[in-house]
Amino acid sequence: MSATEFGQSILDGIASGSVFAILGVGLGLIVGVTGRFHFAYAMNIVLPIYFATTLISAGLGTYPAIVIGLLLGAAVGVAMEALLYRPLAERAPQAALLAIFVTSLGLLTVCENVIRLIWGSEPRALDPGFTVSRVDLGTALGLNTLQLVWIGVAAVIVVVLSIYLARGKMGRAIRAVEDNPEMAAAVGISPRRVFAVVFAIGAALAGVGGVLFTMQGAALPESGVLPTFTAFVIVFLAGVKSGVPRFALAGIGVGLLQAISATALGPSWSPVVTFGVLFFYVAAVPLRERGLTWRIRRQRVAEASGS
Amino acid sequence: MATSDPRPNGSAAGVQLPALLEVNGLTAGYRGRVVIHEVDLHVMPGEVVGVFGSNGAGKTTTLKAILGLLPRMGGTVVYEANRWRSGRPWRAAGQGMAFIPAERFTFAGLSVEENLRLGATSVAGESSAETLDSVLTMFPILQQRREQKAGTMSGGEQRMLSLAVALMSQPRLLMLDEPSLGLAPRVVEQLITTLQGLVEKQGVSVIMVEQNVNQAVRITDRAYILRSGRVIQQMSGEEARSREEWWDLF
Amino acid sequence: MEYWLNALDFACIIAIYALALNLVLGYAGQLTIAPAGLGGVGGYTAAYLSLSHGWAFVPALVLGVVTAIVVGFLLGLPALRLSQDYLILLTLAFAAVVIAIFEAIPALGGVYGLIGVPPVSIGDTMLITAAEYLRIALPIMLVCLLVCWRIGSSPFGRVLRGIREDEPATEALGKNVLGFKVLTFSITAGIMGLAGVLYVYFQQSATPTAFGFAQTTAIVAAVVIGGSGNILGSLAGAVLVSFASPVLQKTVDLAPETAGTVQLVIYGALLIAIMRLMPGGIIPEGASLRLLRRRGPGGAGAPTTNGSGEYRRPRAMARAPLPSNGGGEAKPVVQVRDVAKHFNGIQAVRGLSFDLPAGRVTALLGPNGGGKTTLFNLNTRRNRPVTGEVLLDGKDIVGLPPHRVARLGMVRSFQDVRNLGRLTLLQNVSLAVPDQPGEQLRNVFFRPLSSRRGERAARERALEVLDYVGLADRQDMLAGELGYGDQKLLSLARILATGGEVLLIDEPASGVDAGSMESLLAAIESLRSLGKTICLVEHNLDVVEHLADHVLFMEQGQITARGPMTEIKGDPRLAEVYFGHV
Repeated sequence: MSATEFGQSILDGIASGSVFAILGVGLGLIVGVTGRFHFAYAMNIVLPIYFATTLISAGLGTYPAIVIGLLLGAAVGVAMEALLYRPLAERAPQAALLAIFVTSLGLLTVCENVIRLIWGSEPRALDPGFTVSRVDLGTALGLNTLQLVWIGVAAVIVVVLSIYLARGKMGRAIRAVEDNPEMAAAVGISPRRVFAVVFAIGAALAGVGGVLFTMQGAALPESGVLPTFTAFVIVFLAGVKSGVPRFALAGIGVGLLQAISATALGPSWSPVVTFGVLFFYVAAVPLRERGLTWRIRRQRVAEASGS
Repeated sequence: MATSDPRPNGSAAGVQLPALLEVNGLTAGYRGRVVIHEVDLHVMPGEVVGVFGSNGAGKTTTLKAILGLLPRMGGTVVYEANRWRSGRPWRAAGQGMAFIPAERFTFAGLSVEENLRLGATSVAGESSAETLDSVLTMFPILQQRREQKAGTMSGGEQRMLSLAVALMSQPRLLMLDEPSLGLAPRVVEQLITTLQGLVEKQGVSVIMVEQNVNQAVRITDRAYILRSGRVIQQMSGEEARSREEWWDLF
Repeated sequence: MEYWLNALDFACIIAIYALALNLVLGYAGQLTIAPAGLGGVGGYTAAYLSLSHGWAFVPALVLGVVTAIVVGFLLGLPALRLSQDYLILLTLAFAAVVIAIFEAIPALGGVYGLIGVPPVSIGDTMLITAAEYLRIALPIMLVCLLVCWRIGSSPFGRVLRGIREDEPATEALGKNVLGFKVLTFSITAGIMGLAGVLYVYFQQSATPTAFGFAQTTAIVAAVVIGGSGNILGSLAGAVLVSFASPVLQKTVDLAPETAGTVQLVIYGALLIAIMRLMPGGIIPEGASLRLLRRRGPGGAGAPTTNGSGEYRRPRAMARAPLPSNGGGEAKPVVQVRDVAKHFNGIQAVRGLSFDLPAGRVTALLGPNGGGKTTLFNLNTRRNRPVTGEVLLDGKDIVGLPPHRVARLGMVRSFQDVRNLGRLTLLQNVSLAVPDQPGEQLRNVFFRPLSSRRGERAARERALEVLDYVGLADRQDMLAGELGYGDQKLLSLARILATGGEVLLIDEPASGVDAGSMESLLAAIESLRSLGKTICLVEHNLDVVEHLADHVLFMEQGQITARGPMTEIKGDPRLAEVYFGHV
């Protein structure tokens, strides 16, 4: 691998890593604050694309359609939590992990195939509305305009979300629930409301990520599954209780890992490396404390939500 | 503070004062296992009530069941003349009940100021700024450590913070779960003195669960003794203060 | 007709997957999403050997299964030490890596996989049609059914269910839980590999999608819908999952592809509905056994009374006292020497030395945070003290895993009881009986008589113990249905059944109503009369006074007073430590 190839793969890795960062932040918020093992995140990634493309073919402009698609996607995310996950968690907090995991699996299957029934299995493309051209950044290195948009959007999201969480009542409430669910209930924060907000934000971010990736290629009903696996990699590499910047950094890291391994070993080996890294990371690090922390906090969350 | 010694059902001699908190026949526990049985207690406005007993007696369960953090298996809780139902404990702060748990009683990863602001979650905007100022005046140490992360402070300081946070919601009833847990004796003394000052100045009522009896009785008007999940005795503050030892009651 | 038989073949294959997953997930409670991946390991191995090296069916199948066992073992070793959340994640990573590897290696056909696997031939006949393939699919599935059923209903299977209900509690009874888990995981991996091989020879190809996420979902659906923990249920689930599509095609006249999609929607929806409404599945665990169970008196919260309203006392032993480890020689004694332990820089326990005299009840008393529970955990957990030793019968047990300590004769009960809720009382106590031949798989399959004899002996012993604590008439009740006081008695019965001489009892009186207290106290006293050495942690001072021969007062990690309770009560300084400074 030459220096130019290496350099280019770094740039490409940062670009795709930016979208992964967005996906990772979305899932990280959900898992970190609510503790739900939300596999069905894959649906939060693809549904907005389908909503948007349907609206576009109905005559709406690209970007208004995307915005509406994202809003609908956020609503779906809230519905998943309020209608499916929460009743399970409240009913039987101990068995909740298995129940939520299996429900998520079922949800994923149902949604993916309902999409197939309604919209068919043909790929859906999304036209970014501007010509994608290459921008040179140095000798023989460069990124295209879409990739630059990816980086830009990710940067804006990270900044805006960090500010939102740091200031503002809801942002503080979210951090409070993540820090100490029992105290949060004691001071009057409704965990239900916070969970709903977190799922809305997470689903919206998932949709943004899905839209950005689709602009480069096309979407299929199953397109959300692999990125969801990758998002889980990101969340657990960063650590479930991380803040937004840390998730984003882990996302960029994973993007770099993928790009560099694709250049060095070939594109088919790249997923092996990515998931292999997660595999050894999870297997090797002494995890008893961390796993314990997560289990205890899930119990505290369950108690604080009145179950 | 109550001037007369109310009878167990909450009526002072000749005058029927409404209790701030009235608990009757409370039975509760975890996952089908009953921990407390038929607990009766009440708190009058302005009173400091202690609930004492050893570990496993059901003290924490009692508080949590009153608040609604645990499902109730029987009995009623009446707060300010309204039935207080379990299942939505986050509504307590807005109704004037401030609960401070026994462990993990601050938002350790957030700053002192953020902790305090969170305490005002259920209070409307303008008054919370004033409350913040008065609370910081009351606890000068918190003013000093305003930007510091709560988890980096000492145990005693965090306890003070937890009190301050509770005050931010302008409570009428403070519910404290083993406030002395993990604190050195001198710090416990300070804590109780602070509490005493709070009660005198703000007129807030307190229900306090404790194993560390000897300090707590300094400020209690009445005390209930819990053993094996039942109230085995009730006594006045003076009685409690004059007791030399508690071996036979715990 | 052809595609009904087709569906039947698929049902057999899914059934094999589901039976294996049921053992791991339904019985042992390990949340794993590796099945399809392990099937892929088996299937691809067989396909590769058969295509590229011309191996015949049987050797290819054997090597496929062996490879799957090895991979399962290597995966299980790290994975089964993890908590559930991380177990899912690790098996998820495994599933993704395996598919990625299949797609990456050119010799395995990349994204398209290996096509043109030669069909199975028995003698001169080649098994190509669905009907012909049934000739091996069905018998193999039946064999797997028998094997899994045998494992599940053996004492080995009982240990698995104990692990599912409460792993630390089962380990504390002397079972090497990690060993059980890894063994089960490896064996089921082999069975899943077998399913993969069968699939490959049926389809005559090995493709990445055949072993991907969709397949995993189908297998999980079969187990969950059919009833987790119920072997027969997995069969039902497999049939449901495989027949939905052909049924839809026939009855609603859907195109095959649409039918396939709708089938997926249906069982995705079923998964959601079942988790919500019937978490036990359509045929819940032990359903058939429940019908045979006798209904006993008492429900949740009811005190232990017999008909006349008197509180039941444990009856005297009808037979000779239960045998002890040491026979007639000096009874084991516990010596704690100079033990210290830090947690995050805080010294929890320091320079601790004391003895537990044989046949006596010693109580640990002290304010919160004094170090009492730390001490219990040091004795029976992997928490290593920084210095010091704990001698049981002269042997240092520091650092030994809990199951080894239990087998050496020191067992503990838990403050939060930790009975195995979905097992009957008899099963709870039978589990505790040590040295059961039926808990070793080689005995289950190769020495059935010895296993059966051992199981009978274990049951007799369990009944004896249950009778001793007064719970024998409710032996077939599920532990989760007992009132709390009786649950405490059951946990005592469990540790009694282990035969351990040293019993560490953690807060026996906590949460016990006055009504059940008498039975509980009588039970502990009679344990002492059996010559057991007992150490209690207890906060209820009345109980301590009643039971303890000897009290050790612990504060801030050290023992500051020793003696009978009356002496302790007479010390004003201790009163200050316990109740606060005046």
